[in-house]
Amino acid sequence: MSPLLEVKGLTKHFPVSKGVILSRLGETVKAVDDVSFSVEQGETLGLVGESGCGKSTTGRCIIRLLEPTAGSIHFDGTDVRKLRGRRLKAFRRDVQFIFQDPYASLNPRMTFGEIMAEPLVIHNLGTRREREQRCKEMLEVVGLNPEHIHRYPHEFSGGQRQRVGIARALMLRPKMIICDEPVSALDVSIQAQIINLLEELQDEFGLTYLFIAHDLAVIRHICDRVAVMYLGKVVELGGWRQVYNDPHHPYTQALLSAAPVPDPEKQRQRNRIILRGDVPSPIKPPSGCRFHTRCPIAQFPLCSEEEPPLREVAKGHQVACHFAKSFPIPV
Amino acid sequence: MLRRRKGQVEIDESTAVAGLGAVEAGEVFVGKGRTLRADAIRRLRRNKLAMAGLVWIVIIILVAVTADLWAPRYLGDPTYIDTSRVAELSLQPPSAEHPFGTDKLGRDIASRVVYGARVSLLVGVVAVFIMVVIGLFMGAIAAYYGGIWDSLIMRTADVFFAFPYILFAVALIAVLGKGFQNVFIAIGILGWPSIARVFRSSILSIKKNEYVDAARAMGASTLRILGRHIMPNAISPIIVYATMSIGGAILTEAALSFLGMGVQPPDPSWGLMLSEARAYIFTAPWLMFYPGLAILTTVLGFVLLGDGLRDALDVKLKE
Repeated sequence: MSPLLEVKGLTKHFPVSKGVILSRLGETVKAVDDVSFSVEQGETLGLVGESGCGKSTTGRCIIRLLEPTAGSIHFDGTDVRKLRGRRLKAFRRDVQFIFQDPYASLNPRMTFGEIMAEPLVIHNLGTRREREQRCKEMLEVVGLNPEHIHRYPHEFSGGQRQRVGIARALMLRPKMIICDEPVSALDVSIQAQIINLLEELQDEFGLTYLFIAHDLAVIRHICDRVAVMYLGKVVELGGWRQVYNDPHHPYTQALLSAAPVPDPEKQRQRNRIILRGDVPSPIKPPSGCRFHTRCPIAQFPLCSEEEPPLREVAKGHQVACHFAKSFPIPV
Repeated sequence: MLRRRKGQVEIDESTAVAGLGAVEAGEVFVGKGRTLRADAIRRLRRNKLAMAGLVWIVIIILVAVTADLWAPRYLGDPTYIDTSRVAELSLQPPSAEHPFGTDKLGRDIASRVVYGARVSLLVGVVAVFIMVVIGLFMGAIAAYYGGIWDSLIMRTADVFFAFPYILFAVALIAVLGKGFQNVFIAIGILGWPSIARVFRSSILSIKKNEYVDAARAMGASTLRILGRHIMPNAISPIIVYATMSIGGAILTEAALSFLGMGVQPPDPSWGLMLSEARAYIFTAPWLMFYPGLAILTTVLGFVLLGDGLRDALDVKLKE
């Protein structure tokens, strides 16, 4: 069976303009560079990385909020990049997006009912009465009072608004939902509720998720497979057990070692890999392996000259590193 | 009822969403929420200064609209000069017959102030309408198309800002010809850059909101995004700015008439009356006082109302 979503060589470069009156073009921010992955029907793929590594850009390219510079995106057998007009609209019915900021993602001048009915209105589904009924049902599904359909977003808290954002994404019964850091703007206590809600909805509606986050604990909880991104590249891709228990790429290892462990005793005994320096500018990414400037095991000149391809180290576990696992990490 | 609603707006997250499918317990009131417009009106009504401004504006409008019904009969004709009695009627101080006194040519000042309100309001509304129409159009193009159009329109606006305002207005009227209608045009042409700027930046900041992306991601047409998401959120600063601009336009008309570039004698205008009163500021101060007071209070009324509207139209502002 072919995967529901297949992304190959996805690249997005943003032109940088300088100067006020005569803008000079030339340099580009290489936000996403040759990223490939696939998502199977019914699974959750986590996309994890630091801020600015291109994970949100990847998500936005898939639903065509941004036009990719290069690469191919296939959803359910259709080439997403070629879609226009009516067929693009049909595709947008199948793939929905949950946004990061529940304060910015709901129009403050629309009631919850109007917000949730909007996808139905746009796709011309149902009568007014039916739409209202659907909104009420959906509010109940996401754990809010159905009577809230006449209320405005500013009357509610972040967690409640995010539930409405989720309800809106579900209105069209999509096949897939791209969650762009859906919980990072929420309090920790609310995060767990929203994550649980997303999991329950996945079972109920048979959803497929692409889950973008920077929080490793969240990813671990909800994802079947994980892709780790660094500076616009996927550096490691595998099942969550493989990535969390047996990370091969030094960047993944550093990320995991940076996440705190609840047990203070264990936390003290752990080896932390502290990366030196800042993330290099995506306008001029380092040559060769993009991680070589901060890598604890980099070997020169190989790492600074040759870009490591993603290679399989175990079944379904890919790593882009010349020396993955062949060197112990010096601490 | 308001109190009750207010309490349940801030439902504690932990009780509200205790689990999937849980409905808030202990919620007393659920029915329809108030509409945003009702909310805004209520906020405006609480603002005493804004309400004072609004009441004053309504009074001026009523006076101006109904002037023909009573002003000539009780106060006297604003333009007619009784040549046979000029010496006798000239420069009378306020009295029962002439509550604001009379001017050099024996005309009733109260009547002239009342008719002057027509000019001022008309200039304020029409000129601001012209500048809002041009400004919205230019601002929307600049924000929507961006790039070269944005630079072109905004740099043109900068050029307008670089000129001294009154001087530019005088120069324009010198070209167009003296008179009432050209005051509209001059103020409209000079005023659009500020509206365009406000509208452009307002659209640009609204456009960045994720709800616009959300609408696009669910397949909404450009027209729908503009009409349903961008416009309703971008327009409120314009309402505020336009209200305040009416006050500004009234001032400009007064200034232009004072300089002899606006309303021409014998028609009454507050600015023109001030100009005529210059020579008598010490001997007959009422000539200057009443039109001056009219300008001051009317402009203040619009500014206060605009200020109140700014707070009233902010959706996020809670009581």
